[in-house]
Amino acid sequence: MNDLVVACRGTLAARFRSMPRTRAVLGSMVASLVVLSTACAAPAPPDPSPASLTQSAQAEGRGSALMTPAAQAVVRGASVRFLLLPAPYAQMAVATSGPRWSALSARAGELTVSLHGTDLTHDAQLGLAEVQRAEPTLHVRGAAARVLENEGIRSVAWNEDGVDWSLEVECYHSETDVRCTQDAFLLDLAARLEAVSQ
Amino acid sequence: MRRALASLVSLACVVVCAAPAAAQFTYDPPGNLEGTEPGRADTHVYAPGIRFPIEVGPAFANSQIYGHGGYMGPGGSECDAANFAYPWHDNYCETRSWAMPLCPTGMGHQGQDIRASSCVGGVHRTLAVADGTITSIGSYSVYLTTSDGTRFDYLHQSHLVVAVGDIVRRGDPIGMVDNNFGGSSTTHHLHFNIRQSVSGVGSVYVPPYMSLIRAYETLVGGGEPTMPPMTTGPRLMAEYVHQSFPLSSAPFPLRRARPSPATSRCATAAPRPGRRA
Repeated sequence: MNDLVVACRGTLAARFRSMPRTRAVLGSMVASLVVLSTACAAPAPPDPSPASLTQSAQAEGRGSALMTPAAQAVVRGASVRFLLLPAPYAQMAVATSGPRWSALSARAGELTVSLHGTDLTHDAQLGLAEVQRAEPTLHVRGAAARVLENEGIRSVAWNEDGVDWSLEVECYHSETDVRCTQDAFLLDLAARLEAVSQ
Repeated sequence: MRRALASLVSLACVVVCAAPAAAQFTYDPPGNLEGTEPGRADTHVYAPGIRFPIEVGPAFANSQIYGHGGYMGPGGSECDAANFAYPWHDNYCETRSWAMPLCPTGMGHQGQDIRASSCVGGVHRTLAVADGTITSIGSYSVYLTTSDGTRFDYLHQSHLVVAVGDIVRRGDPIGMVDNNFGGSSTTHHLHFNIRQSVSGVGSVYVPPYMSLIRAYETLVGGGEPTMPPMTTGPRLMAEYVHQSFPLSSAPFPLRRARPSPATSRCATAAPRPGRRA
């Protein structure tokens, strides 16, 4: 907050520098009051940009310790090893698992993050040409990955230690929210998933 | 005697003619898309044995974009009777700008759009297609994951009766068919995906069309147990809608579905694609 006040006061005060000294001093005092009153009266809305979420994750620590006890219990008992969401999604994540899969889902305001992994592969008897066409073009967590989009729901899929993972982001405003219209947020989130050691 | 016989014949004729003719379920082959280039002609049933995701028929799998009321369609509204008629149409791989590795163009629609028996939202119940767990609920999506890791996605619903973590049985209620698209809306339909880990590809949306056809054949053939009727308001609305838009004797002319000269049509009695109904 102090940094914000100093920065804003400096900017506004600079506009008064061309004025006579007394007016400049007066102007600087007014600028300080304006900035302080604005900062106190209206809390800034949360910034949904990937950058702010990254900063938040770094500030709040690792996801595993932040999960609810119920979610931690599911993670510990799962037969398919979990990857964990980073903060701030870890706190609100609901964990579920089955004999051949594990999943996390977190709803944070207008954003839903979900992660599904399974170690059971189905044989669809695809032709060689189809498999070649399906070659992934990205890399996530050191593995080849593919981004898909489904009705505005963006997902990235990759294989990690024998488990096929899919991380998805769904936005309330799917056509305008950059977290769902672009890959950057999704790929950044995937990179910050935390592997659980067992 | 002769007069009595004539009366009997006349009565029988009246009864037969008055009885609503049950529409026979027919479907176009997989990959035969409406108004766009061919999709994926894949007859593999990726999820055998699933229940149909809408509680009761009739239901109509077809395009929301190229059908009536769609922005690439022939005009009219989504409530046009032609949208509520057989045959079904595959719309997996329908033209979209979305990456889809199993589509011939590498892009396309990932699931199947299904209209319930009317264009009214919040009255047609959706059900779990299999035993499983609700693994995610977003602004307009519900994911159901089954024991083998197959995930079934239900999009655009309202009136959800499940929460993340719920264990559901095949046939349990999920929500209602609607037009929910988060902060905006779409046509009233259920967008249904199947997502599986596929050998050589990884986690991907697989074609749901044939799985849905098999499930629907079981449903309309009477092979699914019925649920207790709803006792709340929407039930009355649903009955009203059914009476207002009867499929067998529409109050407005039913437009015939466009024939597909390149491919033949399929029917319940002849489930093999390529055979004319």
